[in-house]
Amino acid sequence: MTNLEQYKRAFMLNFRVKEEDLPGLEYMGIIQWDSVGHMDLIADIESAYGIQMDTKDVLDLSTYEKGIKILSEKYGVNFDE
Amino acid sequence: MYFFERNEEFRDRIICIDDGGREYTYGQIWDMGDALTEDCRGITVLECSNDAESLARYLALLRKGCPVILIGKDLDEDAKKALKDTYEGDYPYNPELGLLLSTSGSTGDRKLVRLSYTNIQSNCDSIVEYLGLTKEERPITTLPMEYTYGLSVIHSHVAVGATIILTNRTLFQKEFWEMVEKYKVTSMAGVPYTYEMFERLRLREMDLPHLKTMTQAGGHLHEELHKKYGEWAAETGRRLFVMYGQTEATARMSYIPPEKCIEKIGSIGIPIPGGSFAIAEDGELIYFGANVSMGYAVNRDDMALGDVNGGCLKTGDMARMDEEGYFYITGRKKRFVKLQGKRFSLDQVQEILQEAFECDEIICTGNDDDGIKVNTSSREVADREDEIIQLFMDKWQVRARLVTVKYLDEIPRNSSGKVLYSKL
Repeated sequence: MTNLEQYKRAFMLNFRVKEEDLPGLEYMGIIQWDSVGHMDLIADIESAYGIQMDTKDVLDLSTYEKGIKILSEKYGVNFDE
Repeated sequence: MYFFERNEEFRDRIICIDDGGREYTYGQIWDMGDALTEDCRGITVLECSNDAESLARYLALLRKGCPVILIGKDLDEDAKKALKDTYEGDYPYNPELGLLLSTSGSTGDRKLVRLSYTNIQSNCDSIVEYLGLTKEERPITTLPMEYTYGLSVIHSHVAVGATIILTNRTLFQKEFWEMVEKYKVTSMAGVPYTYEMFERLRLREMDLPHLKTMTQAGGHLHEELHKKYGEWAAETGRRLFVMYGQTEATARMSYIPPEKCIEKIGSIGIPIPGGSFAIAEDGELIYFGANVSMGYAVNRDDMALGDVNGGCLKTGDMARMDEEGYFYITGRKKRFVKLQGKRFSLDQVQEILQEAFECDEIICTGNDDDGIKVNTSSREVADREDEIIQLFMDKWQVRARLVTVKYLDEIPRNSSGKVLYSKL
């Protein structure tokens, strides 16, 4: 599975959303992405890439797109492969 | 004097600071509440969130003697309407009746717990005493106001003239932590998953010089987290209170004194001041105290009922006591699990699933830590795992990871057809 697929999968599994719903998805924008959902999402992202995110980044990851930006810029996750 | 009355000593003190950074004095909140509830008569449904207006209305209704049914603003519209249609109005009710809260059960009907003014005052007094609260406290809201534990934080701090930081923000919003810092928050409350979030946010590494007290209730705190937070508190001169309660007892029944926090991991502690426990012959934990509710309401007529409990609550939990008088929960009398601070009856969940999937061979089991397991001997149902999980998420906001679906050849039953839950 590519890094992007893993990233999408974390959202789709935790929030039960379809791939086409991912763009524009934001924290508190759907009922499933609440604070509990966010916690689970971060846990899955961290284990997928073997990283530990800083508190600041956990708070900043508030949209589907921001997550990609944070992970690629600060944690070296390559989404282009 | 009741905590919600106009205590002139507090008039010019700040009662709350809201999300907009606005400060309100006790006097302002009293006047605002009186104006907002001028036309309220009889039993009143109050849709609340953690803001000044909700607090003002709530305290005013208590002062006016209008029994309040407290619900969250985000409750779904059908449920709101059902509650209003069932209960709202000016008709005969017990004059002792002050507050009605939905049980922390979430699968069930619109059953309400009937709390008297004495109940809420008594529990408030106990909490103030064992937490040692003073007017210098500045708690921040981490739980909804309509949830018994969140409400108890408000009651006990209003009682002492403290300042509550009222926010609807979540722990995963930067603005929440900015408020913690800016307003020098002294305490935070959390249910077990709040502590999971604290851990995810590395709270123990944060620089929070004013934070002195952490409280926990709403279900069993994972022992690893209990230990981590207990040790952190001890090392940094803070206090962690692990507590136990139910809506049926207004909020709190017991707590572990912070100095025993590590020694008594896994315990629910000792009874709160004014309360006591006994263990019944069958092992059930029984609580006695002035905070035990008057009973339930399921319809309008029940609003006129008196106290049917007489200060005695069968908790539904099985317990044991150690030689030092600390109590430990050992199991449940009935089949239910507590997830995300809410109580789920496994029998009810299973009935709803059986109906939704038109199949009787669906049996739910589970525990507080791992969640609910949906066992089925129907291949067809097992293949609809996604839909089952979706139903849990939509209907009850249960996290996907707390639901597992398991296919088995046959549901184990005894010779008379009774399900052998222990074999699942």
